[in-house]
Amino acid sequence: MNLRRIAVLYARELRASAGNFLMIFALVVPVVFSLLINLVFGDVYSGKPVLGFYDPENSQFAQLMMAQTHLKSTRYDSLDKMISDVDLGAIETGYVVPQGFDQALKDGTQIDFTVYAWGEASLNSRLITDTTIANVISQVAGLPQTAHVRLHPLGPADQDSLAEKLLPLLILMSIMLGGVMVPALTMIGEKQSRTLLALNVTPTRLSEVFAAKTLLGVTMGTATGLVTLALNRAFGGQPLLLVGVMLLGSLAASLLGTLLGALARDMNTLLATLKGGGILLIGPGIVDLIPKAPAWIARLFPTYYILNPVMEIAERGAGLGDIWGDLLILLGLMAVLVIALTRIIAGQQKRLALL
Amino acid sequence: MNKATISARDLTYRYGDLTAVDHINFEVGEGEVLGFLGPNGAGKTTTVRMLTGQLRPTEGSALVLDEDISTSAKQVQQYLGVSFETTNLYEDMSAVENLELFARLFNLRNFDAMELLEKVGLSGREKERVSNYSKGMKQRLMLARALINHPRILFLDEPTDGLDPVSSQTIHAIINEASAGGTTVFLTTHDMVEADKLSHRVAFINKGQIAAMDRPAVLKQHYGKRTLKIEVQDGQGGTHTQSIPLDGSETAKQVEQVFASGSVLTAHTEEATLEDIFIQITGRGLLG
Repeated sequence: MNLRRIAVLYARELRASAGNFLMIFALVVPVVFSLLINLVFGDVYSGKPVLGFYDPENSQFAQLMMAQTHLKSTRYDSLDKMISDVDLGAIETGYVVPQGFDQALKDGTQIDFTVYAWGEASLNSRLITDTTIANVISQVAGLPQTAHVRLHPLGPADQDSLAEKLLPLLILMSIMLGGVMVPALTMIGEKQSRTLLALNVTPTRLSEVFAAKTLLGVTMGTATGLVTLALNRAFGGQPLLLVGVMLLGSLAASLLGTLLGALARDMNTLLATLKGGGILLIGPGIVDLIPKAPAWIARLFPTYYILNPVMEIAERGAGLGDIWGDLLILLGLMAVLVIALTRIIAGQQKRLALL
Repeated sequence: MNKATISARDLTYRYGDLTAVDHINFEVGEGEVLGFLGPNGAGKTTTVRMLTGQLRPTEGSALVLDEDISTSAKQVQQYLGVSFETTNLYEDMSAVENLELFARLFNLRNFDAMELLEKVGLSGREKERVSNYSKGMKQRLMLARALINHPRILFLDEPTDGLDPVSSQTIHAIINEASAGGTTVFLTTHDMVEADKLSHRVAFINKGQIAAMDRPAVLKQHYGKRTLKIEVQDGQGGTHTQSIPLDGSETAKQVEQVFASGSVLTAHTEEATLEDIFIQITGRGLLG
């Protein structure tokens, strides 16, 4: 294989993708889904945790909390109104600051502190808020953790918000649309326009064309996957590892896309295959949406080994040591795809000539 | 014939039970234009696909530029130019971009796309998307693409099929120029007039076999009948045409008799066309 020719073909692919409706569709769909879901559930553009304070005494604690720039805070004159807003999800957490709270903190005496939390508030929001409270309390009291925070969840009692539950499906869709669809579509496009025949009578090898298309899929799958993660603020604590795993996952998806593109006779066959077999690609994301579905079901789908390492890093802060088993299985699946692709290239040469 | 650039030896290709090309043998010399003629399904395209390294022969071999094309296709393709019958350009790109892409794939330095586009009459519209081009413009652009690497052998499959006379003439001129520069041209066509005009030799392929191969003049001499057609005025004010074979034993006498009548309006010789000869040899027409 000639790297220079692969680079030439890859540049051409990138350029062509920019103006292709189906490519744009494949790239834009996951991003639009992310935006819609987050707009509906207020996770992206709210950005900051939204808090409310019922504090008739105008405590120093509430003042300091309201001064935090990473929080969006509202002061309530009515306790009922604040509880109602929490219930509706208009604010994520409502604080009832007890009388003499500042002084109790300074004296080091324990005092009950009531907090109303919206059930679908994101875990991130809750963590940010809890940490801020601890800091502010320490600041007011000069003492760490003397207050006892009692949390009252309101609304649906699920641990994860709908947006958080949809995230695995969105990530998988991003990688699959960018990684599988894009190389498959461009491959079919080349076959239908017979430009592959024109390339085939130059020094360009078919394997170089396949490599360029696979690279395109890796680029698109990784880019859309990362954008989706960024839109959902799910980058986790190890962004470099996440990018690496995303690249690997996109490569696996792209190998599959190139294979499908090589095998499918035309666009209709490809779309019918994806329609019928699409569930296999996004299955693990769908399993996550089914309440109480056994986790082992997701493991039956090959794409689980793309999705799970990404989600482990993004949501649970996993390191390489936690995900190596999944990555090994993924590498094994990729080896199978590479072997299949190598065999297809040999057969494809003849099929091409008969187009 | 100059040194052979293409040499087919018992070249055969089978699609399952169907033998598309059946043990054909021929050579084409450097700078020669070979017209490869035959009806649809005769085996023309399959032969070209084998000679350009797209298909591996089932039997036999083809030496192209002294290399076995089935084992050294990629090395040989560096020196080939191929123009296809069906348009296969990147239609989302401009003419210049199409040519520059292929120039980069051939690793050509100092490539001047405009020079080629001027040659094929496409300068002025070089930045337009190819999808806006007419069929003739696309055909000329495909020819330009085939010429990018200054090929030693140019394979042209129906290069003027369905084109307007101006586009056809441009392509004819380029073929003649390439041949004069030493490029071998393997011309596959239905158009017998075009083949007659451009080819140094023609090969008739029928049912996968070469039925005849020689210079057009020789084929005409060998297979064709020369005739003298004389238009004569008859007694009732009408006209009729008399055909007299020029190679008959009574020719002189017959001609003398007709002219002696004093009613000859026109007289001209007529020689067989390549199509007549093809039908005579194969028993079928080119469109059949």
